Amino acid sequence: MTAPVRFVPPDGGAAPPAVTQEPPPPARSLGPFYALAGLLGGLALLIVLRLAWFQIDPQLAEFRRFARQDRGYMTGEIFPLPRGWITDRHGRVLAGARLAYQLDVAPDALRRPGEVVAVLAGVLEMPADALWARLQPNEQGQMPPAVMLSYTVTPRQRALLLEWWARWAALGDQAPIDPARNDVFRFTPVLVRAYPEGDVASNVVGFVTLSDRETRPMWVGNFGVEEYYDRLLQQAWVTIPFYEPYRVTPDQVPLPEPPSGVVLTIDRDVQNLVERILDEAVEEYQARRGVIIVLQPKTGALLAVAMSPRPRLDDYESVLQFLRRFEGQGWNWAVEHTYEPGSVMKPIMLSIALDTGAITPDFTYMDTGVEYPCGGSAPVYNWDYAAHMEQNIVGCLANSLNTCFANIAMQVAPEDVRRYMEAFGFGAPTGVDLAPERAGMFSAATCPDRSRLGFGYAVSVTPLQLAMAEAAIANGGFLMRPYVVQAQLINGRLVPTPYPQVVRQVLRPETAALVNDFLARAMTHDTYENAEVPGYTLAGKTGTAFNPRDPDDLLDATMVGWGPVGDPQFLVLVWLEDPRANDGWASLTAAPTFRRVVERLVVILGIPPEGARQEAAYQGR
Amino acid sequence: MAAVWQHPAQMWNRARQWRGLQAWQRFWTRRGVWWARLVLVSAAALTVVAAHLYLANEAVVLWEDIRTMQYESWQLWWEITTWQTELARQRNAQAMRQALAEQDLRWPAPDRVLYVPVALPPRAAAYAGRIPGVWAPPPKPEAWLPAEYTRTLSQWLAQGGWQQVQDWLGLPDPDVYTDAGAAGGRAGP
Repeated sequence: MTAPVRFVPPDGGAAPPAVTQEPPPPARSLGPFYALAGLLGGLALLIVLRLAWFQIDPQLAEFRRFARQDRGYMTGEIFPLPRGWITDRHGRVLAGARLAYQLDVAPDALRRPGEVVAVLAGVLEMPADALWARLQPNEQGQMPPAVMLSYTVTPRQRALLLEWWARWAALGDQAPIDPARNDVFRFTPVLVRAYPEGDVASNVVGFVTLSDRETRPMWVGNFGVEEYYDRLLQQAWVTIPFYEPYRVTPDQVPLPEPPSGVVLTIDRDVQNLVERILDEAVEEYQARRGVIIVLQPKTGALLAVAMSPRPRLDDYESVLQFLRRFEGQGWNWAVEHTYEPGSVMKPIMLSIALDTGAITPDFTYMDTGVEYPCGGSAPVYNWDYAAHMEQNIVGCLANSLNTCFANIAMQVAPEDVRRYMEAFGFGAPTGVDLAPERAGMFSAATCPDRSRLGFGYAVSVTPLQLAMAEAAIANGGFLMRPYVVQAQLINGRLVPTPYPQVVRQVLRPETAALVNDFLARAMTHDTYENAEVPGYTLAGKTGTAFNPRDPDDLLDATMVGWGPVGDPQFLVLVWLEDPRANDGWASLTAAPTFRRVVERLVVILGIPPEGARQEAAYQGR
Repeated sequence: MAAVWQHPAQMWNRARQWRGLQAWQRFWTRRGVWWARLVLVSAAALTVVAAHLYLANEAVVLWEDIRTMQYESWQLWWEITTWQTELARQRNAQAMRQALAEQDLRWPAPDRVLYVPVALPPRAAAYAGRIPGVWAPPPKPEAWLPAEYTRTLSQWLAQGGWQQVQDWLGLPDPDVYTDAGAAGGRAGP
């Protein structure tokens, strides 16, 4: 058994020295200490009480409900961005946006729907029965929680409806709505399309309609720029988050930016001028309709594409009337209407023949008034059924001899006719950035077809196709791709579109210069006195096409011309359908219209007359 | 007798028995002080929590303000968009035409437009061929160093350094003439 450990004092067991015990110090007072603790404890109690009050405060009920709800339900607010703007080349707005409201109504909040519908019909100017039908339960007998009644409520209509709502809510139990509900009417801001220019360039711009998507209606472009650039111009929304302040910094919230859009090559003033001239021409010559195209031959930029009659884009009824009247004939006839152009195709065949070497510039033709290019079955006569005897190329153009050009067409190899016609862009869409576009067609398969191609039959063209083919002659032989949008506005920056584009070189430059020279000389002939503009050297050709074998085929009067020859700044094409005045001859209807356009166009474009240009040239340019 | 091994705690207890507690240690052994310490620490913790809650509340309120302002900026932007379109409507082609008609302005014919030929420089003056380029001399230190680092004391004094010293010391400037004495020490006429 081990001995217990014995405590051994450090001094080896000696008796401890006597220690004199000091008296304990007097106890300090704890009063101030308790006071401080009490104060802080009281503050803590107040904090606890305040936290408890948060749980029962009726003013914070919404926060508590939100805290219990699924937070993903309310994470943001959706703001609309406008559909992209469309402006002319100087930034003048052709299609903009204005603020409106989408109106949703909660059907179960209506105690007496009839009274509410009566007020809604009056304020929104909508038929009451249609509104009533929208507020009925569906086939399953279910009532949706909210029904969209209108997408274009103006701020004034909204104010009126809010006033009615307040008046009803003040009635208490007698109100036709549930006064306790705060979602009887719900107004969501939206931006709707507006066309401030009315009917100017309406055929180029197109229009928008509201898609029938129930969840989030969108504007969808129809025709023209609105349709072609629909994806770019598409209306968008941004979601601004809320109730999650710690997850999103204010820098991440998108602030409004300038709207995106497209800048056209169209000049509003030229467009408006040309439209008015065309309106007058259609009325004066009793035409059914008409088109004028003004473009830059060197680039293919369209300065004006006018049409008469045309709809007003700021008046939806006018658009509907236009579509009903010209049903199936398209929206923009410059790219959607195809027709046999007639004699305006003669410069095309002449340039083909010269470029292939089938004829030489000193070609002469003995006109006997009739030509049998394919034997006796398909005779070709002149417009006046007369014989003009021996003529050179300028004479053939000036007198517009069908016989001469049927003869020229037969001298070109059939394969070359087809190849060059395709190279000029016939039978294929031009690729202009307007939707939709028709291609047209031509036939060089048989001998009669080839002979008729010489004077503009056996081919159907759109006015724009014809204008671009003639522009290839004007600009030295290059087929350009026509375009109407010169830049896109993206995030406030101008991004140019990839134009001008050369599709292909069709003619040798010397051939194009020769044809320009022939046409300019032919323009001095009496036939073209209505198209002459003093001081300017112009080249051009008229064409009056009529197919007596087809009773539905109407007369088409076309004039195409450009100038100044050698440095072409503009090309103007005038097409009038079925003009009754002056027997419909293009030289008496389309040619004067051409002159009216040109003599104002040279002022707008600042093209000095020939004398001033030569003076400038003499000064050492 | 050999020393017996002791645990440090035993040594500590022994020392306490031997020497007793100091006065300041004895204070913390009192029962009321323990409760007070508990309350104090709890209150401090609650105060920190409360401060955080206050700041969080401020953040939420400020966030709401920011959001309200952003919403207002969007509303203003929508109105600007609307008014821009309205402005374009009031200045459209038809309105311009009416304004021209009211002022009896007509469209000019080409022969009524006066084109003034502008003299162009002769071709030879436009481009005179290549000329040799000249390198600029490298910059001296004065160009990029402050003057304090480059000038000598004598230069500094010559450039008004003594005046600067006078300004620092608040000495009267002998060059500035004051009329205070002539007016008898009184301000005003």
